[in-house]
Amino acid sequence: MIEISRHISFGQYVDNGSRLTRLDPRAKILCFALAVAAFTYISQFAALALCLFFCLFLQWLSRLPLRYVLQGMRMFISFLVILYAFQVLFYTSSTQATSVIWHWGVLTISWEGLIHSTQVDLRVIFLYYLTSLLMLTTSLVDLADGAEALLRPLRRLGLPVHELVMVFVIALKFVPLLITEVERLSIAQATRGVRFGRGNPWQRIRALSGIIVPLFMSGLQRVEMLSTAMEARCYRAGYRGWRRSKLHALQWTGADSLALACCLLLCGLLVALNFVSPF
Amino acid sequence: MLFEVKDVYYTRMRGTPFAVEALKGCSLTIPEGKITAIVGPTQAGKSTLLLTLLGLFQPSRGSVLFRGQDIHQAPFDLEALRLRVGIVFQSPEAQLFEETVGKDVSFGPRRKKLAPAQSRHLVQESLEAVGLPYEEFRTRYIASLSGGQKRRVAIAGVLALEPEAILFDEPTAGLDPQGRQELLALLQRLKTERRLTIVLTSSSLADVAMLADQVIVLHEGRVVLSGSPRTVLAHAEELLALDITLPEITQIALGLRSLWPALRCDVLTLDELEEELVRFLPHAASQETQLSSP
Amino acid sequence: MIEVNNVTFRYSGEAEEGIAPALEEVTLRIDEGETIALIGHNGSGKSTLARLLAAIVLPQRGSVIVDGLRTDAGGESLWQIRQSVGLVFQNPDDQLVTNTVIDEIAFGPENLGLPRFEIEERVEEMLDLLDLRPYARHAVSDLSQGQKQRLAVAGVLAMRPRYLILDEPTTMIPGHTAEQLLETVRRLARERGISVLHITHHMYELADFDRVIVMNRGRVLLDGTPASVLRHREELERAGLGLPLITQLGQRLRARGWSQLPEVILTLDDLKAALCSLK
Repeated sequence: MIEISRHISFGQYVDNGSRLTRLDPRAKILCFALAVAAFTYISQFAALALCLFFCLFLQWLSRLPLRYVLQGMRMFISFLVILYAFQVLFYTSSTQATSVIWHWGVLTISWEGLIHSTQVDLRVIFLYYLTSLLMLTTSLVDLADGAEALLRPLRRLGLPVHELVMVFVIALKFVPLLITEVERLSIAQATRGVRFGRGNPWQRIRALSGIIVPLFMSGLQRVEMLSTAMEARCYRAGYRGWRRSKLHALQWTGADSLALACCLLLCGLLVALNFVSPF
Repeated sequence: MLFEVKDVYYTRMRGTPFAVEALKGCSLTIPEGKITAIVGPTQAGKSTLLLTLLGLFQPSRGSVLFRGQDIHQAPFDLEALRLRVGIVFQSPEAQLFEETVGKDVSFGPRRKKLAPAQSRHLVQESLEAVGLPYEEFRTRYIASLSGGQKRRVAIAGVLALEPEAILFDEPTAGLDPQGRQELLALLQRLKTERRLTIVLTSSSLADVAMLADQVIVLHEGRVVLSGSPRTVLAHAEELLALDITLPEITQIALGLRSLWPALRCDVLTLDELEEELVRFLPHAASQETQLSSP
Repeated sequence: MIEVNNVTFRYSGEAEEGIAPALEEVTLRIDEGETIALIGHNGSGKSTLARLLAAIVLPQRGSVIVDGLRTDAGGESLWQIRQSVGLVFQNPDDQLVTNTVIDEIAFGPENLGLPRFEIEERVEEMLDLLDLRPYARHAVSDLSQGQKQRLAVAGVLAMRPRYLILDEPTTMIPGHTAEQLLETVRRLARERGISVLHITHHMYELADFDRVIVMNRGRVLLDGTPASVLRHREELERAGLGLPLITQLGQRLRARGWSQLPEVILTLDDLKAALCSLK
C-alpha cells in the first residue's frame, strides 16, 4: 500500500530513446488502432500465439525492463484471474454439445468454457499490454498532438477537437499526481490507525472513502487553479476565431511508414491465420 | 535512545526505471525528550528517513532500533510502534478527511475504541494544546478554517493518539513568518509541557536553530554533520555549499567575517551578534565617556 | 503604466458575513521598468491586488487601467492585458499546465498563435535565461520545487509581458534558491525594462527593490524607497512587520554610541561599508 507508484506504470512515460519512443505518434496511434482491431477480432490459439510473438518483439524494441512492465500489469492480472474463474464456472454455450468435466448445482466446468475463457482473457491481456506500452513509449504531449492531427478532419463536423484533446491531456496529467496523493493519504491514515485491506468489505470501503473525499476535494481545487492559470496565459478555450499555433511539427519518416506497413501485414496475417487455423 | 539508525540503505521505486537511492549508509541516534532537527536540501532523504523510522519503508540494508529493539525483527510490533510515535506530514491540512474539527480529531481515539467520555476528553485536551479552544472549534467545518488552523487541527489529530514522540515533516513549509513563529512555539510547548520527543525536518536552519537540541545535517542520504545548533552553525560555509538556508543572523555574521576573520558565526540571536561585534569595533567617542563614568 | 484608481474589491459572499473588503479604496501607479516589493501580513490584500492587476478578478468599484486599457472593458482588450501582465503563482504546481519543460515554456506563445520559429526562439531564450537548459527534456513532475518555480517564471516571460507580478514566489522554495530567483528577475527588469511587482512577507527581501509598498487591512500603508519605508518603524510594527535584522543591528550599534552609522542600513554591503568607515 505504501509505494503504490511502484506498482502502477499506467500513464508513466520512460524516455529511453528506443525505436518505439522515436516513432511519430500518428504512426503509433494508427498501428495501435489496427492492432487493437485485429486482436479483438481473432479467436484462435494459433493467431493468439502470433500475437504473443508480436508483443515480445515490441517488448524487445522498447528496451524497457520486462519486469517493470509486468509489475505494472500485476494488479490488472489479479483482477482478471477472478474474472476468469467466473467466466469458466458460468459458461453457457450457444451450441448444445458441451463436454462437462465437473458439475455442481449451477456451476459447471466444461472444455468449451475453459477454452473460450482462456482465449478471451489472453486477448484482454494482450490489449492491456499494447495500451500500457503505447503510454510507456509516448509522452502525453506527443500522444495528444498525434490524436489531434488524426482527428482534425472531424473539426469540419464542428467537433471541438483541440479542446477535447486538451481536456484529455490535463486529465492524464492528474494520473501521476493522483497516485502520489493516494500514496500520501494512505500513509497518513495508516499512521492514524486505519488498516487497509483488513476487515469485512464494508470496513474496507469505509477505509477507502476516507481517502477518496480529500482526494476529490484537492483535485477539484487544483483543476480550478489550473484553469485560472491557463486563462492568465491567454488560453482562450471556446473563443471564436482563436487559433493556437504549435511548437512541435510532427515528422513522418520512412521508419513510420515501415512500422505501419508491418502492422498492416501482421493484421492481415492474423485474420488469415484465424480463418484457416483449426483451433 | 528512542531511535537508533544503523547504516541504513533504502532505494525508492526499486525495480523501476525511476529508482533513486534515497538513503546511503545513514547512521544517527534520536534521544528521548529532546527536539531533533534533520536538516538538508531537497532530495537529501529527509522524508524517507522519517518513514523508515516508523517502519513504513523497510531498509534494504542496516537496521532501525526503537529503544534498543530492531523494529523489523519478531516479536517487535510495528503497529504498536505507530500508535506510540505519531507523524505529521508535509502540508497535513490536505489530509484532513472528516467534515468537522471534532470528528477529525476524534478519529484516532474512535479507532482505538475508547469510551466516549475519554475520547471527548482527549479531543478537548489535544485541541487546546494546539491553541484551538474546544467549544469554539469542535463543530466548525474544516473547509471554513484558514491554512494555519487546518495545520493545527492535523497536529491535534495526532496528539489525540497520545504518542510519546511525534515526527514532523517540513512543519513550517508554506507558512508566513508569523505562522512559522507560532508553529515553532507550539513545538517547544509540546516538548516542555508534554515531555514529547520531537523530530522535525527542514531545509533551513533558520527555523530550527533556536528550537532544536540536536541538529543532524543530511546530504545525499548520509549524515554529514551533527551536534548542537551552535556546533553545526560553526560550519556555516560548508552548510551554504550544501544549499542549506542559514539563519539571517548567521548570514550577517558570515558576511562580516570579510572584515574581521576571527568573528564567530555560531551566533543565534541579535544580542549575541551585537556583543560579538562590539568586541571588534573601535570604541566610539560617546561610548568611552560612558565607560569611564560608571 | 498601470493605474489603480480608487479600487474596492470584496470576495463574493463576504459582504453578508460582515467581513471587511479585501481591498478598500486603493490608488496606485506602476511605471515602466520599476521594481516594486509589495509586503504585508496575511489578509492584507496583497494577493487580491495581484489578481486585479492581471485581470483575473475585476474591481467592484474604481478601475484598473493597463497601458490605457480598462481590465473590465471585456472583449479583445482582456487578452491584450493578460499578455502584457504576467502572473507567477505562489505554488508552481498550480500553474504548470503541460508535462515537459519545453512544452511548458511554449504553452503561452502557442496560445498567442505565434509562428513556429518564433516559439522556438523564445523557448531557447528562456532555457538559457532561467538556467533550465539541463532539464529541457525532463518531465515537469521530476523537477525540484525551485526548478518548478523557475519554469513557471520562464513560462510567463515567454509571453514577453511588460509587467511581471510574482505572488509570493519565495514561500515554497528554500531561501537560497529564492535569492537566486529574485536576482534573475531583477536582472531581467534592468535589461529589458520589464516592471516587476514582487509580493512577499520577508522584510529582508525589500532592500534590492526600487520601491516598497506596505499594505495593511486592504489599504496602502506606506509607499516609497526601501530606506524611507523602513524609517517608519512604529507603523510597520503595528502592521505586524518588524524591521529587517540588519537594520535593527545598525540601530542598536548607533544606540550604543556609534552615532556616525546611518539610521537605516539595508544590505550587508551597506553595513560593511559603514563599519569600515569606523575602523
